[in-house]
Amino acid sequence: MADSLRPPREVPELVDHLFRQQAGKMAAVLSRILGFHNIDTAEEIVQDTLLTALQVWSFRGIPPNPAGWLMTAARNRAIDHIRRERSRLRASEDLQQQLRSEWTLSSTVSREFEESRIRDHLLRMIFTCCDSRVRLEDQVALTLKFPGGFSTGEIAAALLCEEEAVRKRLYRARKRLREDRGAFQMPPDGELSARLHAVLQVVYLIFSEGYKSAEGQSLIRAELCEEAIRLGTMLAEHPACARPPTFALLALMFFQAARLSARTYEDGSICQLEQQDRRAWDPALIANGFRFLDRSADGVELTRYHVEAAIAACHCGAQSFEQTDWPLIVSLYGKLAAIYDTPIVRLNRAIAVGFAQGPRAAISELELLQREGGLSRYYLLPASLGEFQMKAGELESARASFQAAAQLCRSAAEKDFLMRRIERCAADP
Amino acid sequence: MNRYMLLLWGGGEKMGRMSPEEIQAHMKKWTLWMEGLAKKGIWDGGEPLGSEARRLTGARAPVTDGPYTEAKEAVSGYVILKADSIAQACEISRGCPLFEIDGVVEVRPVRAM
Repeated sequence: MADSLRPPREVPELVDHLFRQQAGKMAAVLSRILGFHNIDTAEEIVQDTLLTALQVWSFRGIPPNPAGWLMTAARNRAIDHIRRERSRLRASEDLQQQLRSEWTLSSTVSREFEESRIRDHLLRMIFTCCDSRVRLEDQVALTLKFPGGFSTGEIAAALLCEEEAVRKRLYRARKRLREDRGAFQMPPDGELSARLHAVLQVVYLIFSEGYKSAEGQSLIRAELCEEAIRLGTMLAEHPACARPPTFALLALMFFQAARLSARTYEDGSICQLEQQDRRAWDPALIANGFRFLDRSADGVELTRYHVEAAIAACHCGAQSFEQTDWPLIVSLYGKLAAIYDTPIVRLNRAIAVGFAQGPRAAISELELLQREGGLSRYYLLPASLGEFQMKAGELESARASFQAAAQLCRSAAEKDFLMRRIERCAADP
Repeated sequence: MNRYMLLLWGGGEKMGRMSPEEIQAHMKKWTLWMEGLAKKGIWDGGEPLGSEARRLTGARAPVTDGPYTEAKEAVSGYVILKADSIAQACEISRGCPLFEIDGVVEVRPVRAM
């Protein structure tokens, strides 16, 4: 066959994470057709489709429209599957009749695979995964698994937990959702706003997990940030979810992501904001941040994402650490504490106070926080206290604070950073 | 130059457990390897094979359904190479990504006459 005489040519590059993202899309469409209770079947069809692509593309090269190829292959597999199982298949109730008849089977499945509908299915999938009847940690795992296309092993690596624990979470969540056949629906208009907040919370949790300093697995953790931004963008582009809180969260994530690579030195050790090379901040991501911050300024609702994005914007907009508008940041943290009061917010406020008013002011605020005890297990409290004590010349206390922090922190990069701080306290006259 | 057929056996078990991300990464190795053969001018054809199989044991015997071997042992495709000797064909086969998923390559000469 002349076709199999492969002419030499350049290997076209696939878009990064194409398979992962298409897996999420395919799972969303297939569970729309088959019902979320058939999610296992949907997964099998997805896996089979990807493996066929692996085999065929290896021999014949990558097709001109790889994503379209995958969707068509998944659609054909779905039709075959439904045809084979017709008599016993219990698919989505509203499609059941059309899937039963050979006259309408193919057109019904094809319709759900149309690009304009895929977007809706994905959104419905996200809302299904972020269902309040499922535990929050399970929602995170499920969202990474289904719209996300991450494997159990990848979720475990990204969330720094055991694969077995992720398997349990997914099992528990799927069982909960399978029992409920109406689950795969968009919430009615009246509930949408509240449900959207639940979705945004999960997206932000995914982002924050990725943003936490990495432990030798920075790659997969940076992918969490990327995935959260992708999910956020998907929400922002959908008319049902294109609302100010969505834009605010997206702005916040863009601002944070812009600074992601500057937070560590090449050897993986931590670089503080003060020492960061601002030229390494990603200007395109910062521009996206400001674009969405503008769009978020609509309406009356002020969410924590609005305020946190405004704080991040202050940092991203400042020419240098010294030129940062610290008094504004202090007042923004005050606003944040009014709507989202957590010990962490107060810790951040205290740190900003230190830069706005000097180390003594920060030390007294941080000591107050310490006495309140809400953050007794959190290493950043003594670590920050140590920083300001060092600035104030109280080296003995600083050393003790860094030592306390080193006891509490779990990441090797952070521990390493604190050990160097302790050495500095001892070395300085 | 002689022609050799590389029969690609197995790998299915490990592939079945790959994540979408891993499948994509693995595929990149295959396309690079295959393109490499083509660029060297030693590629002389090849096709991937599906897992479905039927077996006939006689002109009138009923057709039986496969697959007959476990997926991990099945032939997933073949490649025909041009090489000077079977030893050289084996040497070229060492670069095949199939080994990363615990597959086996069987090298057979295509008879010239």
